[in-house]
Amino acid sequence: MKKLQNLTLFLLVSSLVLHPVVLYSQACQGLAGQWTDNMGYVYTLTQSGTNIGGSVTLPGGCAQNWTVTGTLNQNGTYTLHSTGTGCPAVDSWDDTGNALVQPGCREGTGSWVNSDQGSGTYSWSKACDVPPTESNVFNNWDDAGFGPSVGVFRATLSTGGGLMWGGRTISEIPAQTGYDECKVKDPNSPYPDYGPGQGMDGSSIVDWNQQYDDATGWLPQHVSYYRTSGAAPCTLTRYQQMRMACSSSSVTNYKVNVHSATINATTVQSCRDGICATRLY
Amino acid sequence: MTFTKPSVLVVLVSTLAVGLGVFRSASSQGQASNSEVAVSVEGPRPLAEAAKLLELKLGVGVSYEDVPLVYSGDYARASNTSWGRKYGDDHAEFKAANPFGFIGGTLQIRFQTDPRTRQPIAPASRLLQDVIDQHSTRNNPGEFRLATLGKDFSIVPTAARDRNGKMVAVRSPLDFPISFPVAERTGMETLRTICDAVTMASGYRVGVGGIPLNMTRNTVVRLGVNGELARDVLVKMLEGLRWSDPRTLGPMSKLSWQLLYGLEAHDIERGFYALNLEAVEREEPTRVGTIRRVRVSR
Repeated sequence: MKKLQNLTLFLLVSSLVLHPVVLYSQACQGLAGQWTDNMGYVYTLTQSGTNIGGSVTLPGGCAQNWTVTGTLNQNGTYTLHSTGTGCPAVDSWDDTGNALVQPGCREGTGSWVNSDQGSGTYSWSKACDVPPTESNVFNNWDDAGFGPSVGVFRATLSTGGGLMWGGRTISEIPAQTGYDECKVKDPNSPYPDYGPGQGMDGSSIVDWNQQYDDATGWLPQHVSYYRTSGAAPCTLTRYQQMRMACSSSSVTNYKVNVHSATINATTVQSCRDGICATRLY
Repeated sequence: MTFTKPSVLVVLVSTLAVGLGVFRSASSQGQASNSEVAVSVEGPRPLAEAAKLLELKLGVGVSYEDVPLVYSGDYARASNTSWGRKYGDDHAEFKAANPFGFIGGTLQIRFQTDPRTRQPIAPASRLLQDVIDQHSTRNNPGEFRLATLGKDFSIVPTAARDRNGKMVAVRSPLDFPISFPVAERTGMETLRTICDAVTMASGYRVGVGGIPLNMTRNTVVRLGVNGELARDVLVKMLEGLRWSDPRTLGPMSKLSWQLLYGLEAHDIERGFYALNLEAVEREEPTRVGTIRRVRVSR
């Protein structure tokens, strides 16, 4: 019960400095969930934007839960204020946390100061949460990047249960064998057979809007080649296993998306998870 | 060699037919035995397919660089090639189109594997050199050599028939020295820079082929070279790629390349190269006796 040893009143002074936006969009965002610290305190937190709420269960046989309120800062650090009555000998304590450890965002460290001016440090962790699902919209054609035949889709991860995913690392691998009709029609093609899932090796960080971008489609040179070879119209269908990192060495699967990309005589189409975009090209 | 319990697994790859036979050999009853794998590869680019199959078995990068085929005798209508007839039997649309393409060829590959690891027992360099030698012995189009790139390899063209059908020395586009200024570029930008430089240096038209889109979009590498072999530059690039966001901590897949030669509109005068990058995979035995493919991390 280190957090409750002294009785002197502690005034919280927030000295946190806002970091550049680039960090704001990349640090761990999710504090919701059940955290257990190294002293046996169990925090059950909810989150709405950067506002934190919830309760903490105290170790040592105290049956009463204390109330927790707090704020998540733009650089991923946070402050929590716990108050209650009953068993403890202090009125409150404050936790100041360092940004959670990426890529899993489920481990962290920090320091505490109680209303008696006692202080110390803590570490805490929680289970690896993954999104129950994600939604998906077409965002743009990648004219300035891979080329005008590649579609960029914007996926939004579900925040069901109040869980937030900013700062987490997502990655893709083939879920199962797909079908590359263009290569099947033209086995002399100098391009690979994408059916087995070649090309699905990406990884990126979820932003604080719970979103990430996914580029999918035929490159312009593929379109040109398959039209002149006579393979078009043809479609590539692939299965994308989305995964979320729980640590630097482990991932958890959370969704399979079907991708397709079609070359027609005068148009191209890119689809992800049932959302399609078609353009003249 | 005595084969017992023969079983045959046929794997159909869209580009060609691959027959994969797995045989178990036992020198004496009750002892751990080695398995012999027999692979039959037939298609428009048998050596390219052999490279992918052996990469999977060996778990190291086995890249492949096509020979530039300009001799009309190295091409034929599909119905006039062995692989084309077999492929057409399974693909009616292809059979009906009867396209003009590579005459291709066949390779038979046999090697013994360790029963525990399923890895070939023979050194990778010997297995690959045997396949290259067989390609030559069978008079499949083009002559090749094996280039060693650290623990990885590339199968590189050395000779092909010219327009008159005479065998002459050829160089892979990646065997030309290239130069470009130092800069930090995305994976995709770097690939385009390399392809442009190779096109300038070699006289072959080389473009970016099939690549991992999201990987090359989210990675960067700082690179510049002055008169270095394009193949070495490509290796440098693949080894130097890192996630553009330093906190994207997932392991990065090891990549190998297939530099494939193709024809625009089936026209021999309009040949070009596509530089394709693919993840290196290896086979791994599971507890229940099956085999799964896993990606090799860099």
